[in-house]
Amino acid sequence: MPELPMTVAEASAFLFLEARLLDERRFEEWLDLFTNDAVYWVPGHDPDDPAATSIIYDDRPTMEDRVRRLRSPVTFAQSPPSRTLHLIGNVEVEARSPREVRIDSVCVIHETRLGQTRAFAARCEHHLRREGEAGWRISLKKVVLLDRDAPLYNLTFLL
Amino acid sequence: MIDVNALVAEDRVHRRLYTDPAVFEAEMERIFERTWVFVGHESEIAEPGDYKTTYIGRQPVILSRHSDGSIHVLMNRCMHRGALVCRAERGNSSVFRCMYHGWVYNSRGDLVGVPYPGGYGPDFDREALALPRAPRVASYRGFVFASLSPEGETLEEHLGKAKDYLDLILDAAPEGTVSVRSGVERYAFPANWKLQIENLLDGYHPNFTHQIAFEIAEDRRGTSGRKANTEGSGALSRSLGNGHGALDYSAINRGYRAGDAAFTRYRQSLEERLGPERAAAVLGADVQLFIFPNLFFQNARQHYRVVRPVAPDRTEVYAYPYTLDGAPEELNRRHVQGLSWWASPAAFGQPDDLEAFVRCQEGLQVTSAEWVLFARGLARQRVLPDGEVVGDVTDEVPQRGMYQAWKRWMADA
Repeated sequence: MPELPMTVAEASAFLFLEARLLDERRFEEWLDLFTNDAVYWVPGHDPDDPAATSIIYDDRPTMEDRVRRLRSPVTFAQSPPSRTLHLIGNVEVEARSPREVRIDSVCVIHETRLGQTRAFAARCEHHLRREGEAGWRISLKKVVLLDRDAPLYNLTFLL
Repeated sequence: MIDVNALVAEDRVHRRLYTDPAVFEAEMERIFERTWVFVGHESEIAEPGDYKTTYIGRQPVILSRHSDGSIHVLMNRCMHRGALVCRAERGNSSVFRCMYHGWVYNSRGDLVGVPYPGGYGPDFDREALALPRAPRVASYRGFVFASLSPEGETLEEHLGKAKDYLDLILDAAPEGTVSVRSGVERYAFPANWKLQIENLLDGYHPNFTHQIAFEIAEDRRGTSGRKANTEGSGALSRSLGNGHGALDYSAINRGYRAGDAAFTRYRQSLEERLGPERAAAVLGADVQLFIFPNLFFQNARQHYRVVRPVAPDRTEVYAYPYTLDGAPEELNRRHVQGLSWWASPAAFGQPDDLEAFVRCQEGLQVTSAEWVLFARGLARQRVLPDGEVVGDVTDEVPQRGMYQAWKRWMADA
């Protein structure tokens, strides 16, 4: 069996770092984890069809706009801001090429705002690409929420 | 007992409209269970056996297409013990089989199967046990409405002047029809449903609620809704009668429709069908149209929304992108993908409105201030000969019209 370009331990450490950056509101550092052609996708009812309605379908500039929004005092849906805790598990790695891997994981996100705590469960798919000295970068982050077909309230924090 | 005259004046409504469970109950009975309510688009049930489930007010219904092509709105309730006969959101089936005791209905509601029928004796009347149908069902250009009242004005009478604006929106399809097959954006919020209706007709709030969305849009695309929603911009608010209303930006078309090659082909196909004059009006139309009591169109973002009241402080909204039949694929696709930027639960626009609704719902618990004001522009509004009322885009003209219709339905017990 050929050696994986990234071990499960390395992949887990990468996802843990991403979760920490999100939970500590280090959003600019979070953006640095992504390639310039990255897509951040939270599908709606159909997780296999990017042409269908999505909850989020961001290219890199839109991801930057999303972070800008989170930093603005007049983003009222995040005033006060959500606090989040991302719990990552079930990490699996699959080689796509010597420089590309796909990481599958599950994520349980606890979010609290205005005294109300909610939990969101999701299956996540990260496509990573090795980019020279920058190391591994995310080219696709796909978050398939368990309750993606329910009418949901305020998902303006980062999933 | 609800005294509507004590709840709605010309320029204000009482806080109880948003907080009182008795008002909510009455709205369901007197408005949603009597007037014309949108239940779905014909393209959602294009083939025989296709169905979707939805609600008229609180009542579950099935919109179904029978084997002969006819469309039916069936009450989703087994005539035996009352269970839903259909749980799926949509699908295709020639029958609805109740999971409880196996009673079977066909796609126009006839009771066609009862297990062990001998137990019911010789007088068992299957015909009387068909699924109840909505007494009145009518379509306008593919949009299916139903009324749970056997009598009342026709759908076209109900739509009235809103029909002209709906035509303007639907004529944007080169083949004259739209299709609703691109999924749906859903969101919910813990506040009263009318806060969403008021907001969709509100050209006063965007520069405050959506300041950050406009800043981002300007930096990325060089344009936003900021100017259009400034007092005196030339955009208009309209009250169309029967509770319908619109924000009409056509006079200052915000230029959502890009002028690339796909657009040029599209414009030519419209000109062939409609003639150059009507095509120019259709392409210049930039309208947010509300059809009382809970349907809303925005042609610039090529979608419509259905507002579903669930409880006095709980609302669900379903935003359906539509595609223009005969328009270039890339034009249609752009709109479907663009919708999530504004109208998803994680979007750049709508969630800030929802924060406003939730703050209203909480603020309206204050009893020492009883009124919610819709007085803006009352002194300067114009009444046209046909009764339409027109005001500045920032004026509360459509909300006043909506609440006068609300009051008529609620008073007319």
